[in-house]
Amino acid sequence: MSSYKGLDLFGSGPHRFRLPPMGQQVQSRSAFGAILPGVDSIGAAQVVVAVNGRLTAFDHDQLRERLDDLRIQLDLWPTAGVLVSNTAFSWNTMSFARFAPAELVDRGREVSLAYEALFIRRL
Amino acid sequence: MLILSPETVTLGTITLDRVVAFTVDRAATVMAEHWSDLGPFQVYADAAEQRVVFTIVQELRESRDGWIKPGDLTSLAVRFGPTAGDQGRRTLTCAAAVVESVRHELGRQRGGGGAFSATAAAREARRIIKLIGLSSDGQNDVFALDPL
Repeated sequence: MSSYKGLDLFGSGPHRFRLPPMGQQVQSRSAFGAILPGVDSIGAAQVVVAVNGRLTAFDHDQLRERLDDLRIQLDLWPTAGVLVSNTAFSWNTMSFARFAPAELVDRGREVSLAYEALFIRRL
Repeated sequence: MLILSPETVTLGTITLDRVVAFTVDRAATVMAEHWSDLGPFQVYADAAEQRVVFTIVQELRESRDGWIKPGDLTSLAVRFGPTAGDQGRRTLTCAAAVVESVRHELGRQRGGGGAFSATAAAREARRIIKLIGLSSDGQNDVFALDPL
């Protein structure tokens, strides 16, 4: 089971983790506005973990409750926590930065909403 | 759902004659599907959007006017039963259905060498009307089945 700060935020439905890139963040060399050959590292690559999935609920009220739980964590953005994936990958000092829902709430057998959630290591 | 030889099929105020088959087909037009990080098999599926299509197959034995056309909005009522008696008879009603297509099929003469002729074509002519059922609010089913 995945978790963020020990909370099961996404367990109502299926979700998958996109692992962050590793290595250096590079940029082209430049001087006085001109691009020069080669690249320079400007530090370690930013750690961004994306979670793609679908929140599911019995009805719209329950879906709103699940979204409220997420909103509370988004408001706590300055406070970092540990993010653990379904397969026990874990990243510490992660902040919940963004929750991007799909355009439409689906209403089939159950009420559901596809999404992408982004967690970023700020420091 | 398949109904062979329904007693009556009514579109709006017009009762169609010689209806040999009436079908109801349901299909998802949008499926929500997901897989997990734990393995290759699908873990979630839901029919987020569905379409219900009614098909009326009518035998024609003479020329007919094309009184119904795609885009027409009409009501639909079908009476049917397992036997000619009253027991088990039911009615299917749909308050709003939109005509998707009206097609005609002309068959070949059965027996007699399979030659195509005007007489044979008339004997084998069929009109196939497809309608899309509409729900009143998106939540209620597009048709109701009630005992007569």
